Amino acid sequence: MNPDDVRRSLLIVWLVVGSVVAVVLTTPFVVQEKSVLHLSPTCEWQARYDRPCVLCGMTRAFLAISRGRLDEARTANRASVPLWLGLLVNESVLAGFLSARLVRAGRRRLRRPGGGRPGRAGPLAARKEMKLCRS
Amino acid sequence: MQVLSLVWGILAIIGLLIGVFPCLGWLNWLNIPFAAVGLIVSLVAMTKATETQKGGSIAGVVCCAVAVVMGAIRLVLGHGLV
Repeated sequence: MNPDDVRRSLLIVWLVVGSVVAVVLTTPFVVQEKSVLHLSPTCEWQARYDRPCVLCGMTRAFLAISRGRLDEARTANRASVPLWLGLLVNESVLAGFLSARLVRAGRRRLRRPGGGRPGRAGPLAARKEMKLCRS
Repeated sequence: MQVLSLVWGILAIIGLLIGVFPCLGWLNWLNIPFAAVGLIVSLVAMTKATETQKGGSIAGVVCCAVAVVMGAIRLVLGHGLV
């Protein structure tokens, strides 16, 4: 297997997962609390066995975190704050990586003769070419 | 096509891993069709690729097949819901 293909695939997967996580993290800030709670289903584990599962209360906890109520979030689900922080770190790293890549691509385009447009060499490059031809 | 099948396989495996969590077994109802489509795409990529380029599509086929089989087992264990 080509290592470049693997690297590219992992980057695409990271982008896809990162965009899904971004939607999850921004939804509580954008949508009203009542409508999120109305849309989220009741836990099947709780309904069947009358016991909370690992992820029980996570929606309420994420909503509480987005409103700055960290104690309420911790009460709803103990793992919510570390999970939220982990997702936030992932998003920050992804954003940093993407911006660094964009800056690098922009610099490369600026360095290219012809003002960054591929296939159109500028006057400087044309002069160099002429010199090469003469020599 | 190789990269696409590899990406599809990795995403199917991630979906399977999330579906293993308790209460999230229903996610396999979405992940199994997704992995099945990925399996078809990977098989097409495998038939079209040359011998030296087949690695990505083979990995895609294996990942999607694992996601389909394990997802079905997880669905049966969780009675299709939990």
